Amino acid sequence: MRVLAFLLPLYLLGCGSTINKKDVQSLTNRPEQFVISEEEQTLIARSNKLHNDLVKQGLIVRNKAANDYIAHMAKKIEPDFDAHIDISYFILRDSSLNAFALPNGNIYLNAGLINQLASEDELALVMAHEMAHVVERHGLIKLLDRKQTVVSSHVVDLIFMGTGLIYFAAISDLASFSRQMEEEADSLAIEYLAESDYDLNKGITAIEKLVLEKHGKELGSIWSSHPDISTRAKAGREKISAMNWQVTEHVSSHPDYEDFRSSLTELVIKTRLRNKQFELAADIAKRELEISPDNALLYYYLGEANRLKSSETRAYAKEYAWLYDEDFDDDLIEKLSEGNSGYIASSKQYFEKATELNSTLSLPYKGLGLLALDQQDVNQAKSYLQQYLSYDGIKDRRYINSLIDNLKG
Amino acid sequence: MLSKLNKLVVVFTVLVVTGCAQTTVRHHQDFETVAKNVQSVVILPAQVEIEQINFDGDNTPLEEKSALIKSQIESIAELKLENESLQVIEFDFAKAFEEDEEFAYAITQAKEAWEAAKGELYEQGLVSEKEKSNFQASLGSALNIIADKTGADAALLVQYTGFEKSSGMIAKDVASSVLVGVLTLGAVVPIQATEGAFIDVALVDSNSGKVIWANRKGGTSADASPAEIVFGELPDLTWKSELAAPTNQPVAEESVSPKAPDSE
Repeated sequence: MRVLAFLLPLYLLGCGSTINKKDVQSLTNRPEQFVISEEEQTLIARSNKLHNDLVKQGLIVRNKAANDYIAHMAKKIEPDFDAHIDISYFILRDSSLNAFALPNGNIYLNAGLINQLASEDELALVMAHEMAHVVERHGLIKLLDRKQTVVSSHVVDLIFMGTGLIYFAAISDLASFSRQMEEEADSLAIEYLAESDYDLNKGITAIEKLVLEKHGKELGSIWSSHPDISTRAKAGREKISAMNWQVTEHVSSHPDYEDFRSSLTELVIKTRLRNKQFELAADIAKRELEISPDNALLYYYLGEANRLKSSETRAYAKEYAWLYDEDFDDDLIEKLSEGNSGYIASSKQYFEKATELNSTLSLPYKGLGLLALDQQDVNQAKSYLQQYLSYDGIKDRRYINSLIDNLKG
Repeated sequence: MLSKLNKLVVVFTVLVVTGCAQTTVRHHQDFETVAKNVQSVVILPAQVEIEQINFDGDNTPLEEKSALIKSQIESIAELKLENESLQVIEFDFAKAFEEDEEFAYAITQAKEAWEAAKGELYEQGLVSEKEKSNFQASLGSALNIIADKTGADAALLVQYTGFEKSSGMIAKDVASSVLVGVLTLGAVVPIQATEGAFIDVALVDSNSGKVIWANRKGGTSADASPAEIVFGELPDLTWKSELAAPTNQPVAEESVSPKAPDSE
C-alpha cells in the first residue's frame, strides 16, 4: 500500500506529448519543416472559440477605418512566411494598456493601449512584439513546457480593482508567456521594424515612459507582467546599436495616426468610468483637452469623472489605493470624502462649460441632473433631467424616467 | 405554568432561529414596490462554463455539457418564473447579436455592471433574513437597451461555473489521500470533491436597474441541481400581472435613491 502511494504519482506524471519542444519551428522556416501536432490543433481550436466569444460579447471594435489603419501598419511590419497560420488584427473594447496574441494568429490591441500611445512608431513596436509570439509559436512551446508540470488550476481572475471582469481568464491562459519568450519577442520585434520607416528608439523610449505612468500598474499589462522593463529596453537599445540599425537620425512621419488614435478616446473614457476608474478617465479627458481644447464632450466626461468621485467615494478610494499604493480602508475613504465638495464644484463647472461650448450636446444636462440628484436638490434634478430627455436619441431614457418618477411628489 | 413556559421557549426559539437564519438571498429595499411594475421577464443567455480539471494543468472546457446545462438552467428558470405569474419573453439573442454589435456589447456591459453589484451584495457573505432586504444594488441604465429590444420589464441574469476532475486528477487525489492516510497512520484520510458547481442569479428591473432579487448557491455536482435550489427561493411577491384592476387611488411614494450609478 505504501509503495503504491508513492509510485502512483510518478506514473501519473508520465503523461506525454505528441510533439517535442525542439521540433517546434518558427513560421518563417520552410513549410515542409512544420509539424502540426494535436496540441497545436487544440490550441488553435481554443483560440478560435475565444475569438468567437469575444465577438459574441461585442468586444471587437468594428470601426472600419480604425481596422484598416491597423491592417495597413501590419503590412509594413510583418515578416514573410508561408504557413498554416495567418495573422489577423483586432481592436478590443478594453481600456487597459494591453495587447496579446493567440496561437491561431489573432493579435488583439486594446483600445486603451492604442489611445495611450502618442505615435505610430510606438504602436508598431507593440504589434511587432505580438507578431513575434505568433511567428515563433510561443503558445505551443508554453503548452509543451507545462505538460511536465503539475498545476492544480489555471483559472485566473483578471480583477481590475475588484470589478471582477472574469471574461479574460481564457486570454490569460492562452496568451501569457515566459520571461524568455518575452525577451525573444522584444528582440524579434526590433528586427521586424529595422527595415521599416519606424523609429525604433522612439518606440522603446515611449514604452519605458508608459510603465512609469499610473496606467502602468494595470494587472495583465504586457509591460508589467515581467519585471524590469528598463532591462528589456536597455537590451533593445543594445541590439539596435550592435546591428547598426538606424544609425542616422530617423525621421518618421505618420500624419493620420492622431485621427486614428483619438477616434478611440470616447470608448476608452467610457470604459474607464464603467470600470470605476474615475481618476484614469479624468486623466485621459485632460490629456485630450490639451489637443482639442474646445471639445464639449471631453468636458462632459471630466465633469462625470468628478461627479462619480464624489458620489461613489468608496469606489474612488479603491482606485486611489491601487494607483498610489495606499491601504484601502475607512481612513482613506474618509480622507477622500473631504474632497467631495471640490469634486462637486469642479463637476458642475465642467458640465456648464460643455453646455457653453455645444448647446446641442445632451449629456451635460444629464450630468447636471444627476449631480443635483446626488445633492438632493429635487427641483434642479427634475429640471435638468427633463431637459436631457427633450433631446432625440437618448439611450437611457427608461432609467432617467425611473429617476424622475422617484422624484415626483 | 410549565405548559406556558414551554410555549414561551418554543416561541423564543423560533424567533431566535428565524432571526439568526442566514441566507444568500438579496432583495432591493424597494423590491415590493418595484415588483408591482414587473409582469414580463427576459432571460439573458446564461453564462455557463464547465471545465474538466486535468492532471497536467491543461484544463478542458466541456462545451457540450455546458450547452446542455445552460439549456436545463434556462428551462428551470422559465418554469419557476411562470409559476410566479411572470410572463417569460422569448427572444432570439443570437440573431440580435449578429444584427447589432452594440446590442451584444450592451449585454456584456450589463454583466459587468452585475459583477460590480455582486461586490456590494455579497461583501458580507451570508446575512440574516432580516438584513437580506437592506440592499440598494442597481445596474443603472445597463439594461435599458435590452428593455427597448425585448419589451421586458425585467431581466434574469444567470452565471454558472462547474468543474469535473479527470480520472487522472481523481487518481492523484486518491493517491494523495492515501499518502496522507499512511503518513498519519489512518488518523486523517481527506476526501476531495470530484465535481462541483456554483450558480449566481439576479432578477433586475430593466428600467431602473434595481436588483429586485439575487441569490447564489453551490453544489457538489456539475449539473443543473443548484438551479433548482437557487430558483426555489424566488420571492413570493405581488407582480404587476397579479395586481387588481387599477383604481384612482394614488400609488405609494418611493424615496429618492441618490446613489444610483450612471452608465452610458
